[in-house]
Amino acid sequence: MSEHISEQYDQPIYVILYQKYKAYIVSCVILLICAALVYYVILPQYDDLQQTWAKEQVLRSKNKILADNVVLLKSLQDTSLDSKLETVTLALPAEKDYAGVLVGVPNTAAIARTAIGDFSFVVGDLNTTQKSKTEGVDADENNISVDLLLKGSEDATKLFLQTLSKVFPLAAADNLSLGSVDNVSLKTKFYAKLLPKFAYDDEKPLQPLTAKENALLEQLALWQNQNPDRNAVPAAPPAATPTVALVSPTVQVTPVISATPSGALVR
Amino acid sequence: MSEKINLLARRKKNVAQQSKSEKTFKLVSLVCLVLVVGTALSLYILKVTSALPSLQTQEKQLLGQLQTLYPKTIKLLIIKNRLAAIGTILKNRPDLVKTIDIIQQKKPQSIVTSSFEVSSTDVTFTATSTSLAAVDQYLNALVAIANEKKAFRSADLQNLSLDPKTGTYSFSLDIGLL
Repeated sequence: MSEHISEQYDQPIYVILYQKYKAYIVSCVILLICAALVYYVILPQYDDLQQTWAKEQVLRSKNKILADNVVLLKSLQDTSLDSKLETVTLALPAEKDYAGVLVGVPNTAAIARTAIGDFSFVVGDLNTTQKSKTEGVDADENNISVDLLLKGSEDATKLFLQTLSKVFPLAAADNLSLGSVDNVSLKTKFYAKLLPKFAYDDEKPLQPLTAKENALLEQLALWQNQNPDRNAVPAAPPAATPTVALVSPTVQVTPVISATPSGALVR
Repeated sequence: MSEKINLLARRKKNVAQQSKSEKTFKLVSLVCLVLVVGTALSLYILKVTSALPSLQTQEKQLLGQLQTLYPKTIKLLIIKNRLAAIGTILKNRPDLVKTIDIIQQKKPQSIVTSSFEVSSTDVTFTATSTSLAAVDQYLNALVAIANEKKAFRSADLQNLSLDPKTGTYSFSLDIGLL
C-alpha cells in the first residue's frame, strides 16, 4: 500500500494534476475548440451569409427592374416608336435645322396669305454636337434666329403667328413691330436643342410615356400633318422668291443662297 | 465525531460530488460542441442552397435581352427627353397673338394705331384719335387689365399730346407683360 502511494506520488506534478482533472481538461479543450469554431468559422460564415442575403435582395430588385424594362420595351412597337421619334425630332431637332426654316417660313406665309420680304438668319457653327457645356446655361440650345419682314393686314399677321406656332421645327415670335402701312417686322426663333449624353443605368426603371406625354405627342402629330413634306414641292408664297443669307463663321458656306419655290437651293 | 475521524466516508462523498460536476461539465461541453457543429452545418447548408447563383443567371439573361432591345431604349429616352424640352418650350414661348388680342379688343373704333411693338416682356404702341373720350375709355380699360394682374404687370402712359390744327390726340403707352 505504501509502495503504491509512493509510486503514485513519485510522478511529476503535471501528470498527477492531469490524472486528477482529466475529465475537466477534455471538456475545457472541447469548449476551447467550440470557441475557436465560433470565432473562426461560424462568425465569418454568418457574415458571409448575411452578405449573400443582401446581394440576393439587391439582385432580386434589380432583376425585377430589368424584367419590367424588358416587358416595357417588348410592348413598344418599332413602327410606333419610329414615328414618335420622327415627330419629336422634327419638332425639336438636335442640330440647327435650316432646311426646316427654309421650308417652314414660306409655307407659313402662304397659309397666312402674307407676303414675306427677304429674310436672313445666322446659322453659326454647324458642328454643334461638339459644343461644350461650359459655354453657358443654354449651351445645349441651337436656336436659329430669323428676322422677317411681312406685308399683310393685322389679321394676316395674327394668322401668320398662329401658323408659325405650329411649324416644325418649333418656332416662337420674340418681337413684333407693326408700322402704319402694314409692314410688320418680326423676330423669330426656331428651336433646336442638343441631345444630352444618355447614361443608361440598368438599375433605373424605364418609364413608359405618360398620358400627358402621349397627349403632347398627339398634338405634335397633328401639327406635323399640317407641316409640308420637305421632299414635296412647297406652296409658293405670295411674295417673290426669298433670298436667304447663310452666314457661318466656322464653316465655309457660300454666303448667299437663293431658295427657289421648288425648295431647291441655288448657289 | 465519527465523520471527522472516518476519512474514507468523507472521501467517497467528495469523489461523488466531483464525478457529478465532471459529468455536468462534460455534458455542457458536448452540448456546446453539438450546437457549434450544428450551427456551422446549418449556415453551410443555407449558403449552399442560396438563390444567388440562379439570380445571377437570371440577371445575365435579362441583360442579354436588354442588349437586343437597346435601340428601343435609346429611342424611348430620346422621345422622353425631346417631349420634356418641347413641353418647356410650349409653356414658356411668348404668345404674341394673345397679347395683341387683349390690347386690340378694348380699342374703340375711333382710335387708330400708328405703331405697335410687342416683345415677350412688354408692348409699346402709339395711337391717335380725334375723340378724347375714346382715348380715356381705352386707357381706363387697359389700366383695369393691368390692375387685375392677369395679363399685364403695368401700363405706363409715356406721352399724350394734342395737335390743335387737326384736333387729333396722340398717345404712347408702354405695357409691361407678366
